[in-house]
Amino acid sequence: MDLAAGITPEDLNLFIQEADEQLQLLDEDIVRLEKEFDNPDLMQEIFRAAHTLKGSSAMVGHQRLSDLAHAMENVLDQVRKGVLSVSPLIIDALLHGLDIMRMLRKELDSPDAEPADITDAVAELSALLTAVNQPAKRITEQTGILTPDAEAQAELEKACQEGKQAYFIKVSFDEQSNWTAVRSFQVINSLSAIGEIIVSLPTTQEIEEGAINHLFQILVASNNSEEDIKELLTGIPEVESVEINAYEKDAPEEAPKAAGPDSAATAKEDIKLSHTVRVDVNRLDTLMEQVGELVINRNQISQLGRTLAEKYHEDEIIVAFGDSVSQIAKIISTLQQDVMSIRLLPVEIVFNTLPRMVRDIARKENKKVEFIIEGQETEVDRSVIEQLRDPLIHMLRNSIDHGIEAPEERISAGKPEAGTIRLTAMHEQDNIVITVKDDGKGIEPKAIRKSAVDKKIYTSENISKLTDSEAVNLIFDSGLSTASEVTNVSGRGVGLDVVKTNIESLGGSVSVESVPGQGTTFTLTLPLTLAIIPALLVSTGGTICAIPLSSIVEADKLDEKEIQTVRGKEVTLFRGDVLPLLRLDEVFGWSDENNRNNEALHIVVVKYAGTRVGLVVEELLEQQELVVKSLDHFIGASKGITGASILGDGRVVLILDITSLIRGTIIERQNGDNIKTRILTSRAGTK
Amino acid sequence: MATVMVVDDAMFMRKKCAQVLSQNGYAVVEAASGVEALTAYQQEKPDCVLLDITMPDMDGIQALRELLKVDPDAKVSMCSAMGQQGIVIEALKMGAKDFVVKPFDVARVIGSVKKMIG
Repeated sequence: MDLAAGITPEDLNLFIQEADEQLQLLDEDIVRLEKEFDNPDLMQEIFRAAHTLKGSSAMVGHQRLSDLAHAMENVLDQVRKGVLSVSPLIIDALLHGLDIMRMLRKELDSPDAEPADITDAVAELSALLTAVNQPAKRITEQTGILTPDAEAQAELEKACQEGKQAYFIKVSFDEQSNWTAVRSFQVINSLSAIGEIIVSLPTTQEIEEGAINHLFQILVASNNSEEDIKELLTGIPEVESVEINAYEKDAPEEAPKAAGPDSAATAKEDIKLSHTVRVDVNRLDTLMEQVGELVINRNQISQLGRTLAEKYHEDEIIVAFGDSVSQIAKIISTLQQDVMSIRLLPVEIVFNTLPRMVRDIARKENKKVEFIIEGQETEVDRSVIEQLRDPLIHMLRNSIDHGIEAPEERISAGKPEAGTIRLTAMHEQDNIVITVKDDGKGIEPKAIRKSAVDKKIYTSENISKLTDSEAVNLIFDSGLSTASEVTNVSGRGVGLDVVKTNIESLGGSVSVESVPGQGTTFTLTLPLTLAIIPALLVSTGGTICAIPLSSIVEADKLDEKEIQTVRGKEVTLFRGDVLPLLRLDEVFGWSDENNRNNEALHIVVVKYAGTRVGLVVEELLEQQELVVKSLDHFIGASKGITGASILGDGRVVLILDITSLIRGTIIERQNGDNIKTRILTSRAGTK
Repeated sequence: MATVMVVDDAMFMRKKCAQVLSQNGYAVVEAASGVEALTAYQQEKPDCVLLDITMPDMDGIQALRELLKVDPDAKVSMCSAMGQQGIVIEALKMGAKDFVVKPFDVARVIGSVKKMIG
């Protein structure tokens, strides 16, 4: 695609930024328009967005984008004026146009892309206009010669008596000009400033009605010279030629009045600076990484300070060093928080793209859905934002497809015809919690159980051991779909398991709760950032592990006597509940049952999707902020471990993946197998 | 150095226009809305104004009316897109000195500014 001359890459970037904003705005607003068809402000906003796009894209030379925006603007204009009224047909045409616009916008990123065709979209939009049957304005050709009538003659004589010279002026405009009416007005304005217009062809009123072509004739009385007038008129853009003849030659000419130039131009500062800057995301990422390294080093220095203090106790220098270290630690913490907050973005960015999708699916499925968004201002790290969209789409699709019933079904169930889906985001400690709640038919645990058994994912014996809540959460297992019919939207048995895998790989969790007949709630919990996590360090079997604080319920001492065995598995009674126990050292194969350490044990209770498990460890060490380093590059993804981190003293710790640990235990227990989640045999070595 | 105020809610248009003007030796004051334009006009006293027509809150026509109330000699050139002839005529009747059509032609913009401030 060729761009207009003089458009630099910076210009293009600026254009793209703004175009993206406009496109997003259109996306949200057009969907809103369907409901709020009588909201004039919304209408104006949509119109302006199309209008801005039209202008800017013409400026950068993206003619097709500009043309399409123009076609949309025409329709919007008619809607705005009340000639057309908002209908699903119009919304569809606008959305279709918008889709093409997005393709056109993408062409700017990949210049080799096949140029998108706007013909269909423009035709669809224009068809809406012809339906209005708007009478086309015909411009009548003005070929006549201007001849002053009696009234004009009288005025002319009066002007001449005042000593003015009458001129007959013919102005021809550029054949290409679309703006002759306005140009004619400029001619009128210019001439009125220096004299009196006796008569013109076409008249002022005719011009306003658009009845002007490329010739404009005026009879004017003025004190100015022919040259002055000529200069004045040729200064108007698109004026091709000016022909001036004195109408009567006997009046004396007067010197033109010099118009005092009022150029009291005071020098001004340059362009005003705004209060915000746009920064490349990569720079922020680099900054974040640097701060991450700084945090590691802070931990190391703190450690060093402690070692020195132990060794030299009250030594003055060491005390001063300690103070300085704690100062630096404080500053680094603040810095870390500041950098994190720069990277925070409101989830709105993702949420705003969803109403359109919900509308499209609902329309396709013939369902009525009221989509409510709450907490869109909740902020989260941009690395997390990027990962939010796909899971949300899957869950929303699931709600519309499987949750919300067809309108007739809802009415007969005594529910309002339109289903409600409520998307909510909020902060909960260091997590962002997003829920998708519908008031549909809910999930029958029975149906899930049956399906799981039918598909041989569970035996009928094992399935009965699951609580209803656990059974319902099986919908996240691959190969389990409960929709009675497979639709083209969701329900090929893939989808929710992908959601689960993706969310868990981010250190988050997803779960579902459902009341049959009343609705389903998906809950998605994600850490606010993926780069730094607070964790509890524990040691067991001679190795140090880190447990993310986000999954810890509590930690306590564990007496050997409190451990009981049920069907060969260790459990304990914790706060009145039976809690399955997991000995970390044995899970990872660092030690075995035969030389099990039963003294001075601690328990760390962790949770995942409503299931709690007690991790048995030897020692609780301390709580630390860990900079997560992925292990994938070195040893491949490992079950039970999400990553590693470097401690202040240089030791490497493994960060536990509680989700896969808990799932491992549950499945192990339910299937009665004794397969250990054997993961790492190589110990994380010391430096 | 003469000062030109560029009023447009579309950021790209505004920046591009400001860029062209400053390259041609003008100081530029930017305003993103009619309301901003009114305040900026009184503070910065620009020599002339390029005023977009389609804007939120206070459109170009309203802004022109208010500007002329503040300064009857305000030199304002309207920026308009295709299909806004009627509005431009209204603006010219109200006292706008000139107009330029989007997409901007550099020569036209500079020409319009020169014409206004001589």
